[in-house]
Amino acid sequence: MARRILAFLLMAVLLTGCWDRREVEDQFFIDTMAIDHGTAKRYRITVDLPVTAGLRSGMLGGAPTAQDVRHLMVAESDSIWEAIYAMNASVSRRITLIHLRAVIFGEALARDGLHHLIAELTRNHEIRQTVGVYVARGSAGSVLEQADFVGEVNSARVAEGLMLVAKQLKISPPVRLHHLINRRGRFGMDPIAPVVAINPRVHSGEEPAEPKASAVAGELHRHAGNPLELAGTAVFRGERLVGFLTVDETQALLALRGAMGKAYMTITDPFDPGETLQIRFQQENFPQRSAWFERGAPRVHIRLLFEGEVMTGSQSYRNAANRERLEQAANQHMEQQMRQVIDKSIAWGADPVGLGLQFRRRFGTWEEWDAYGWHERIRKLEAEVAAQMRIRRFGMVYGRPPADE
Amino acid sequence: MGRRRTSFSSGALAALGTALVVMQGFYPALQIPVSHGHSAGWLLLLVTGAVAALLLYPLAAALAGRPQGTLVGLIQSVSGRTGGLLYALALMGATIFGGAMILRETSEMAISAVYPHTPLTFATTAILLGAVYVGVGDGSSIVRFGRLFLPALLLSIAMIIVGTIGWGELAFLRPLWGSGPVRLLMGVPHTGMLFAPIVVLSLIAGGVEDRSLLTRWLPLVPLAAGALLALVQANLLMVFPYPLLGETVFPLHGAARLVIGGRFFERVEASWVFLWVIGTIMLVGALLHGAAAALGQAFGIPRAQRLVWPLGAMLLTFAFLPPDQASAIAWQSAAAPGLAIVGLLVPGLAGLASLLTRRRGSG
Repeated sequence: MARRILAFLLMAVLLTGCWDRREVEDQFFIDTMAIDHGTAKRYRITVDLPVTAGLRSGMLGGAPTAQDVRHLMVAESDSIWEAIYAMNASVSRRITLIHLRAVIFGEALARDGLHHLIAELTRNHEIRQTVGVYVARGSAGSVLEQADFVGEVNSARVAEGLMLVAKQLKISPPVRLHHLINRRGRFGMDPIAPVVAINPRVHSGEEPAEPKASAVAGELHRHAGNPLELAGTAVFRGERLVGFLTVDETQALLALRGAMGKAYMTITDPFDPGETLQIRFQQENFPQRSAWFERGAPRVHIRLLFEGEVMTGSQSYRNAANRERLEQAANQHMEQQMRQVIDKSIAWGADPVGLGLQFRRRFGTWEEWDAYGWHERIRKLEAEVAAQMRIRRFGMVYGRPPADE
Repeated sequence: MGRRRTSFSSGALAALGTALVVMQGFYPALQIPVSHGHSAGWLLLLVTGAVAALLLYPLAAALAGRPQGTLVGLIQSVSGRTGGLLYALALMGATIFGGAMILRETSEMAISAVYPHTPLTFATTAILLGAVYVGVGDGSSIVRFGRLFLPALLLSIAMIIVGTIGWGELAFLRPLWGSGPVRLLMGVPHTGMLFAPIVVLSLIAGGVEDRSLLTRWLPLVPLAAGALLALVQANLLMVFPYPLLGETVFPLHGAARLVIGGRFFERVEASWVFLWVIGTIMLVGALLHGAAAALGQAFGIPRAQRLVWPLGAMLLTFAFLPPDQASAIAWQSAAAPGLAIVGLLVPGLAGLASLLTRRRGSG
């Protein structure tokens, strides 16, 4: 019995890992980090430090606001660690990244390549691969500096909320660090990331010179409110950002990847080309892809099924001809968006859809696949897409909505 | 108070064996099949499991026909006393080396991933003390440990697989043949190292009650464990595609860090790390016990479990020999075929020779 008690005590002391104390109130937890090119050093790192003392005072004197609990810090450094050390020189608690929720990469930095950063983010044990990643149009630091936390008091909650919005509305792909690290053209699929930006017109009230049918973050037609926007997709070729996709293209990209689910789209009204209709698309199947080689060049055919629900419009859908006409217009819209995504991808030499995954299986060994060099072959890719839409529901009215005329 | 049972069933012994092999899934050694099979690392594990089962069948049949018999006795009957002595010494060397590398790797993982402020000596010694405590017990207590631990181990693996399934791409398992059929087969001797701890079962088999069932249970161990490890490997290859998987030190720990369920269910890998430390204690303890039993049987030492203490001291010393984590992994990979020979090939051939000798004798 004595031996058992001794063993139990030894295990309790030795295996619990409490070598030294690290109290919660002795630490600052960074929620969000924005990384841009530095001027004096490699990076300019902006972090959002939630100030717990601010939270406490807020609670005593009413609900805390974002201003009560936010404290932005900026440092230039050659690595994330170096920046954290520099920031730590000015605060009384140890700054840690163990609760990091979001990393925003500046556009210029992402275009030059994230190789060094990905290496550091992968090695650093404090940073988890579940961290949300975003690409800012323009400077990432200014996104963090100018963003309002509407209805929230800390950036961690904002980051989680944005991820949820991206997931539900499909205006941006919900992407985490793991996907950025583990998707490469060499494997048959390039990484993508959601786009964030500050829309300058929100506060200036300026109208855009040319309104766009579908936009990326920073270009949406909005006035007043939070200048921060999340919309569109950043496409990478390996570790380099090569371009952006609009909201409509993002939804088409997600459909091509089999991850669209439900999404709202605006199409041209086939009964009145001057008007638009809003339809809720729902992806019915995982894309049926057939891939083959023709005279050495990769060819792919993708077929997708959708069902839809009409959300707007004054047309009656009692008769089959009207429904068919609408379905044709919806098919045309979807095929056009998907075609645009594929054409842009081919032009960028990137594979955000993951078409390479279809070709991987046609090789006997990894060496043969690797030697084929998928990234170099994408530009020779020929792809056909076919969408088949079935409008199943018409909102609460399937005939003509009430009207005086 | 009743006397504690010192015997156990063949099924319980097989449960211990399965736990010992499946534990290998948590160490960097799981990268050995990936480095040889590439995207077909999981297939290599299935093939090696089948080869190990073929090797273990004659051993199990030979042991089943010898009441109280163990591997060392079997080798002595085939190659004489010197053969038994040499094998016991080789097994001791393999156990000390293999156990030391596992101990070092686990301690390094604990420090890198969970307890960054804990000194290496403290972490290593703590795990070793637990292993020595397990090792000095009798065979039946180790078997009970394994039988109790196996469900927890399987549950933790199932949770990781279910929790990470959405992070992967099935297509990352292609090309199906990975490095190609020839290189895949060349990887079998290296991958065999993962199954080498099964040798412990043949050293403590003296306590098995239903010896006739050994032929049913023992070959099942590499088949079941191989299938489980293949499942783990396939999941990891989908989540961390080749060649990235080969660069990750503790892939299963990396996968555990990805498990999130909503806003409140995350960072659950801490509980897994605790489980893996317990598993390492079991594995290293069983290896120490096996080495002590082999030496005791070869040299005729009564109460051989006492040897676990000096063997543990040697193991601890060896654990500090690699200058760094990468060297420990490299040393283990380089020694893999040797460990497979000592742990699988020699016991299998000894079993076969014993069966043939017996048949010739009776004929």
